Amino acid sequence: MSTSETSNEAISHAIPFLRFLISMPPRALEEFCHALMECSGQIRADVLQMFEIAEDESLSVDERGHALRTIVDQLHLIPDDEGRFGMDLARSEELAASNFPALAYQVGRMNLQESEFADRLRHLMKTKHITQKELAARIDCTQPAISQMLNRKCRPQRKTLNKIATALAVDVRELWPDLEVSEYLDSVAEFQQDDRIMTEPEAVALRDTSQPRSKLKGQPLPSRKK
Amino acid sequence: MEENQETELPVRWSVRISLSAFRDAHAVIPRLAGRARLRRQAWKLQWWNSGDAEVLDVQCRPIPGVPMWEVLVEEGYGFGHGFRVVFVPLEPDGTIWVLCIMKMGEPVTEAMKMIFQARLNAIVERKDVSMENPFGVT
Repeated sequence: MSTSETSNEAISHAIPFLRFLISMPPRALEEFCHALMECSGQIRADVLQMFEIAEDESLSVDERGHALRTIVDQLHLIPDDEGRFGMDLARSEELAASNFPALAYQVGRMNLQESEFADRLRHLMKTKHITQKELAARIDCTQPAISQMLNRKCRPQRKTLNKIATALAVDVRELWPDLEVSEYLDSVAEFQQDDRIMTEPEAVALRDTSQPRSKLKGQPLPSRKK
Repeated sequence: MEENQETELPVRWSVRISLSAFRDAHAVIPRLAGRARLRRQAWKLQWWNSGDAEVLDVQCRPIPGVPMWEVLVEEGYGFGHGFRVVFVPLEPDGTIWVLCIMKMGEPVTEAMKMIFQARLNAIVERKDVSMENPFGVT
């Protein structure tokens, strides 16, 4: 490869980066350049590569989003509360819960659910005379996994709950009573997504066919554009 | 009943999450409750036995072409059909680093592999640096 070809390639790689720099307000640009200069050669090369991905319109929105979030992490050294890079997964929950009441409520709820599930499972296993090993064999998992659930250290997945319910010949709600509430809340969350398109069966299910359609026609709402 | 005695699994790994992955979680699961539940699933990695295809009740699999693994969480929390937690075990430190949170259907393309590698490079470079004492002066 000739020198001119190499420099042309280097310029083409730098174009997305330069475009980004031009779009930045002066103060942010200054901070960005400082952060970039403090990086090692490897990180700087990675940042440029991430810019290429973020600007590549042939790639998916998800890929470009991941690339942008990588740049943010690479240029801003945000240590955890111990002063280290990244966050400890267990401590991050504890720390965030102490700062955000909504998360504290959620963590408390999850702990309660897991603890009640462990009590119910223990009780059912006792009444049905099933050992941990037997249950593990029936649901195709390991005995330590059952042990961790009984010790309230493992939150089972929905599919695991179903398998346990089948293995113990009980309704899944006997193990996890508010499972349906969780599913209902999840489905509400799903409908709140911007790109969510309702399927025909869902639309039919929501349509109230018990009442005849009204003959009255309402006035159209004034357009916000007007 | 002797067989019902509970043997505790030893904790094998300290699990840490990169801030990029933390931001991924916010992007793919905008609801706090869903993120909290996903975190509990990723937490299971502390008991992962290197090379195993499962940890407790979640499946793990290696990502072809890179020295990384992914955990398959088969719960959508209202935002998909499930999630993948991409991680890398750093043996000498005994630390598993969560590199990325993806939706179940998201393909691992070449661009994604570059992104994982870039995140891993930052971790390898900075994991031992303490911000309280960045130059390691004692």
